[in-house]
Amino acid sequence: MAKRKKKTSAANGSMTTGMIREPAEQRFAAELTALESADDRAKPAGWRLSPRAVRTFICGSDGESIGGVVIPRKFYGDDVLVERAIVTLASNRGLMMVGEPGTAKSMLSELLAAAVSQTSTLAIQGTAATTEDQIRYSWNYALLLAEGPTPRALVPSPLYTGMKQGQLVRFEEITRCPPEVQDTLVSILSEKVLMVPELEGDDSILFAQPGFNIIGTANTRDRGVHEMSTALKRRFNFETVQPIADPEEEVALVQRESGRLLDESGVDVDVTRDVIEVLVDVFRDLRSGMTSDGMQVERASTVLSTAEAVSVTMSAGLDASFYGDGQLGAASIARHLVGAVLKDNADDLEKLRHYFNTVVKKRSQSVKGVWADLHRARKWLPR
Amino acid sequence: MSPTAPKAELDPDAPPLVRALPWDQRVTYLPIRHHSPACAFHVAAVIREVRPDHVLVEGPRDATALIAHLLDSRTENPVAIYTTYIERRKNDAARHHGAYYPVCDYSPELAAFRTGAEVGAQLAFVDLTYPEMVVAEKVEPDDGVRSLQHERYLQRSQRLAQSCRRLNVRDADDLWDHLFEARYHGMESRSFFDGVLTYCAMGRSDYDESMIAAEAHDVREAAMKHAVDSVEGKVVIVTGGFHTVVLPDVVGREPRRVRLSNDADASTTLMRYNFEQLDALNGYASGMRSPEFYQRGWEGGSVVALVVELARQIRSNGGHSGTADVIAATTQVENLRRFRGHQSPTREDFIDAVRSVFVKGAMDVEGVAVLAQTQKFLTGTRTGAVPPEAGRPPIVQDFEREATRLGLRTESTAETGEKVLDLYRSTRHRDISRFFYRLRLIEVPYGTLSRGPDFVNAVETERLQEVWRYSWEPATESALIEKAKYGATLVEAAAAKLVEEFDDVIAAGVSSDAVRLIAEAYRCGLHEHGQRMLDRAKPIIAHDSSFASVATSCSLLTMLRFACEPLEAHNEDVVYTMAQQAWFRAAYLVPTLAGVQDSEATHLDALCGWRQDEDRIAADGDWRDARVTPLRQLLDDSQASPVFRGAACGLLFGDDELSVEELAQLVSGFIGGSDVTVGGRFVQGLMRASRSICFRAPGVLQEINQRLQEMSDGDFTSVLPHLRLAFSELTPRETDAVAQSVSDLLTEGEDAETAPSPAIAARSLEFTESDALLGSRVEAAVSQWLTRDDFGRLFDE
Ligand SMILES: Nc1ncnc2c1ncn2[C@@H]1O[C@H](COP(=O)(O)OP(=O)(O)OP(=O)(O)O)[C@@H](O)[C@H]1O
Ligand SMILES: [Mg+2]
Repeated sequence: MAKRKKKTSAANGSMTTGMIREPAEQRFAAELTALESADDRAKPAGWRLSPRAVRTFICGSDGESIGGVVIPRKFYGDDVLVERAIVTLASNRGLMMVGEPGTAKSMLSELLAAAVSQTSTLAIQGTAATTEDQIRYSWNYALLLAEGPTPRALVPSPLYTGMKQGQLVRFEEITRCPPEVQDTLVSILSEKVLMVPELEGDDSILFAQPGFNIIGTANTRDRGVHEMSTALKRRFNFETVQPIADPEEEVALVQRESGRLLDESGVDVDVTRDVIEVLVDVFRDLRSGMTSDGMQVERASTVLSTAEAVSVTMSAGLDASFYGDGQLGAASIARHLVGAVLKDNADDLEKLRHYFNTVVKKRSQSVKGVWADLHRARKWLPR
Repeated sequence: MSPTAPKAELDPDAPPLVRALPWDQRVTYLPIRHHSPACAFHVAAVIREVRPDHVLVEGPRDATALIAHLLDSRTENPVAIYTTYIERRKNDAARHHGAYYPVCDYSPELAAFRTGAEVGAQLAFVDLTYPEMVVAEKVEPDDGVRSLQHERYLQRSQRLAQSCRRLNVRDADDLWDHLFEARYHGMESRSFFDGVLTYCAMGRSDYDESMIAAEAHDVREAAMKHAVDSVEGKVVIVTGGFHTVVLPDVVGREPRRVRLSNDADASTTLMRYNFEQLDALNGYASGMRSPEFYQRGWEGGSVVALVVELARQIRSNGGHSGTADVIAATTQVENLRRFRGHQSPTREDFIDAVRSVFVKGAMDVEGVAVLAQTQKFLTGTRTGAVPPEAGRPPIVQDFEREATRLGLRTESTAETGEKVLDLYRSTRHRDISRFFYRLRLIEVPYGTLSRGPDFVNAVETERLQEVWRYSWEPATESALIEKAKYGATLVEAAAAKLVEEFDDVIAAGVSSDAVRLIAEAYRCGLHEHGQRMLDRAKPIIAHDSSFASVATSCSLLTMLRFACEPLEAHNEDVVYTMAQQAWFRAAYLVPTLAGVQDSEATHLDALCGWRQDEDRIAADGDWRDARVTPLRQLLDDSQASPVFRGAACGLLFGDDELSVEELAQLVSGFIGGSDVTVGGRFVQGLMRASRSICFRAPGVLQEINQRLQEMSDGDFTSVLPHLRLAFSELTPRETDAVAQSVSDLLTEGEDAETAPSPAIAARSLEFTESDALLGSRVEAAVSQWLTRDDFGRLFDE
C-alpha cells in the first residue's frame, strides 16, 4: 500500500514549462481542442466554443468520449448555476460570482474564460490600491515623451485588450477596489466603449468586439457586495457559489486536487482516501456547526473551505514527504489543521480542542482507524 | 427543428422499459399527469381524432353526476370535487375522511370531458368512490384532507432521479417540464403519449406488488378496466400514467360496494377552489407547483408579460428591478430556453432568470425575499366559482338552515352584526349561543364572543349575558366545506371534533382537560356526547395524580351542577356524583402538595377552591374527617411550601381545628424564624385560605405587628411583598378595619415620643409602599457605606 508513486509526466511537464501553475487553457489544451473540433452547435459571436460545449468542459462529459477525449468534471456543485453563468456571459451583462472564500469562484471564472475566449490571463486583481489606470490603460513614459501620445506609447490594461480582441476579462475581488474605481466599469459595461481622449481619430475610441464581457468575483466574507454601487450592480447578473454539498464529492475533489498539486511540486507521497475522508469530515463539522450524526459543535469563525482542505492536505503531504515516511497520516494532518483553523481568532483553538475532546474522542472509539490516530495526535494542539 | 421524441431521450436503452401503447383499437388508453397543459392539449387532440362513443376518466365514479357542472359555462376554475366519508366500525369511534380532486383550466381530465362532449361521447368517472377507496386502501384518517391526484410516486422514483442526473435537470417535475411542457406543440400526439407512458413507467418501476396492493392500486385498476369492459363502442380512457402502464393488461373486476349506514355518511360535491390550495409548495396535498405559471402559458400569455409583472411587484416591495432588468431577465429566459433546447420557456427557465437578474447579491441573503416573492407570484390568487345548481355540501346547507332559523345573516355585509344573548331566560338565545360555539369549536370564522361567562375556564361565570359579534365571509364557507369530513351537520361535525380531541386528552390522562372538554360539550349543546364523555372521564379522575388537575375537575363539575340554565347539565346525576368523586380524590391528594415546587399560585387557588366546592356538593353531610386529616398532614410537613402550610393552617382554623392560641403560636413561629420570607409566605397562604382570621383572631395581627417592629429594615423589605400579597385578599372595607386595629395597637400604651421603626412610620404617612421600600433600601445602603468608610468614627463624639 505504501508503495511510492513514480513521478508522473504531468509533474515533469510543468517543470519544463517552468511555471508553478499553468493557465487553464494550457492545462486543458487537449480537452479544449477536442471539444472545439466536435462542436457543431451555434456559437455566440467571438466565442471559441458553443455554450453547450463550455458546459461540458466545466461539468464533464459524463464518461462520454468527445473528439476522442473524455472530459472530466472540474466544478462540483450546482450545474444549473454553471448554465446560468454561461448564458449570462453571452448576454450583455457582466457575470458576478459571489460566495464564501474558497468556493471555486476564481476557478470557475478561469475555466469560463479559457473555454469561451481561449485565454484566462486577462485578469485584474482588485485591491484597495487598484487605480483607474490599471483598469483602463496607462502610458510608456519614455515613448510618451519621445513621440507624444501614440498608440505605440499606450500600455493596454487587460480590460483594454479584452475589449479589443473580443475576449472575457476577469476581475478578481472586485469589491476590494475603491468605489470610484469600480464605477469606471459602469460606462464600459453599458456602452461597451472605452474613450482614449489623448489619442486622435479612430484611436480615440475603442469599441468592444463581440465576445468581450467581464467576470467579476467577490467574497461575501470581505467587504460585502452591498457596498457596490447600485449602478454597477445593475450591470451584472449575480451568481452565488455555495460550498460543495455532497461529502463524497468533496472528498474526491480534495484527494484529486491535492494529489495533483503534490505531483506538480514533485513530491512523492501517498495520500489515502481514509485520511482525506476524516479531514473533510472535520472541516464540514466545524463549518456547519453540526456533525454528520447530528451532534452540535461550535462553529469555527475561520472559513474552512474545500480549498482550505486541499491546502491542508498539500502542506501535510509536504511535511510527510520531507520529515516523515512518505505516508500522509493523521499526525501531519493534525499539525496543519491547527494552522488552518487558527487564523484570526484565538477562540477557534478552544473550539478545536473541544471538538477533539468530544467528537474525535468518540469516533476514535466507535469508528477507530484514522480517527483514533487523529485523537492520539491531539498532542499537537498548542497548549 | 422537430423536437426529439421524449421517449428516446428518456429511455435510450433497448429493449425499451415499456411496450408501446396500442392504437387504432376499440379502446385508446391515454396516460396523463394531472394539471398538465401539455396533456390537456394532446388529450383533446386525440379525442377529436378518434371521436369515441365513451370518454372515461380516472376519478370517483359517484362524481359522474357533477360532470355537467364542470362543463357549465358559469363554472370558473379552479374548482374541486370534494368527497367525504364517515367510516363507522363496530366498537370504535367513527373515522372521518375527506379528499379533494381539483380541476383547473388546463386539467387534462377537463379537456377530455370538453372534447368528449363536443364529439357527442358519453362521459363518466370510473375510479372507485371515495368510501370504496378508503376501505380498499385502509386509509388512516389524519388531520389533513387528501388529494385524489397526488403523484408522490414520481418524486420517489429512483429511475427518474437517474434520468434527471443524465439530462441535467433538478427533479422529476423539472424533467417533466423539460420533456413535455417545453415542446408539446410541435409534437405528434402518439409520440407524446409514448413519452408520457415511459416517464410514468419509470415512476412505477420502483413499486413492487406489495406496495401496489397496499395502496389499493390493483383494486382501482380492476375497477377502471371493468368500466371499460362494460360499455360498447369506441372508448378513450384517460388515467394517471401510473395506471395506464398496466391498464391494457388488467383483468376487469367490479368494485365491491361499501354499504353506508346512513346516506349522509358519504358525500361528493363540487366546490370552488383556489390556486393557493392547488400549489403543492404551500404544503397542500397536491401534485403541482406554481399553478399561475401554467395558467399564463395555457392562456397564451408571454413570458415577457410575466417578467414585467413580477418586476413591478418586486419594485413595489422595495426591491430594485427597473426596465433594464426586465430586458435582461427576458433575454436571460430566452437564452436559457435555447441553451436547454426548449420550444417555450419552462418554469425553471423563468425562475433561473429571476435568480440571475433580480437577485443583486448572495442568493441566501439578498435572494431570499426575491425568491419567496417569485414563488408567491407563480402560485397566483385565482379563486373559482360553481353554479348554484351544483348544490352545496350538506354541512353548508345545514349551516344556512340553522342560521336562518336563528335569524342570523348568511351573506357578506359591510358591518358586523351583534347579538346580546340572555342565557338564563331565553331558550332561543341559548340556541344561538350554542350555534356560535359549535362553529368556534370547528374553527369556522363567523362569531366572536366579546363578553360573557366562560364556563369552560371558569372565568366571570356570574355574567348573565353573552355578547357576540359576527359576520359571514367567504372564508366561512370554505372553512365549513373543509370540515365536511367531520359530518353532514354542524352538530355532527362539532361532536366529531370534540370526541377526537377528547380521545387525545383521555390518552394523556389529565382529568381537568377532560372535564373542560365536557363543559365545552354542554356549552355547545352537545348533551348526548357530554353524557358519554362523563362516563369516560370517570376512570381518568380516579387515576389522575395531580392535585391541581383533580381539584380543577371538581370545581368544573360543581359548576356544571349549579350553572343550571345556560348549560343544562344540572339534571345529570352523574355530574353530581362525579364532582363528589373528584372531591374525595383531591382530598386524598392534598398531602402531595408538599412536593409541589412551581406554579404555587395555581395550586393555592385549587386548594382553596376545593374547600369551597365542598360546601356546595357535600349536601348529604359533613366531610370534615375527610378533609381535616390531609390538611393536618400538609401543615405538619416541613418539606411543604410555607404558602401551602399557611393555607392548610387557615383552613383548619376555619374548621375550629385550631384554637386562637394555637394559631397565634404558629404564626409567631413562622414569622419569627430566621428566614423572614418564610413567615411572609405563610401569612400569604393563611390569608388566602381564611381572611376572616384578622377579625376572628386579633391575636394574629398583634403577633405580626410585634414581629414587624422587631425586624431589621432589611428583613422588613424582604417580607413586605409577601405581606402585601397576603393582605390584598381583603376588601377595601376590611382593609380599613385592619388598618384601624393596627393603628390602635401602635398607639395604645406607646409613648408619643418614641419613634416607631422608620418603615412603620413611613406606612402611616402619605407614602406609597414602594416609596417606603426604596427609602429603607437607601437608608440601609447609606449606613453600610458610612460604616465601610469609617464615617461613624469621624463624627462620633
Ligand atoms: N465546488 C468545487 N468544485 C471544484 N473545485 C472546488 C470546489 N470548491 C472548491 N474547490 C477547490 O478550491 C480551490 C480554490 O478555489 P478558488 O480560489 O477558486 O476559490 P474562490 O471562491 O475564488 O475563493 P476566494 O473567495 O478566497 O477568492 C479550487 O481551485 C478547487 O481546487
Ligand atoms: Mg478567488
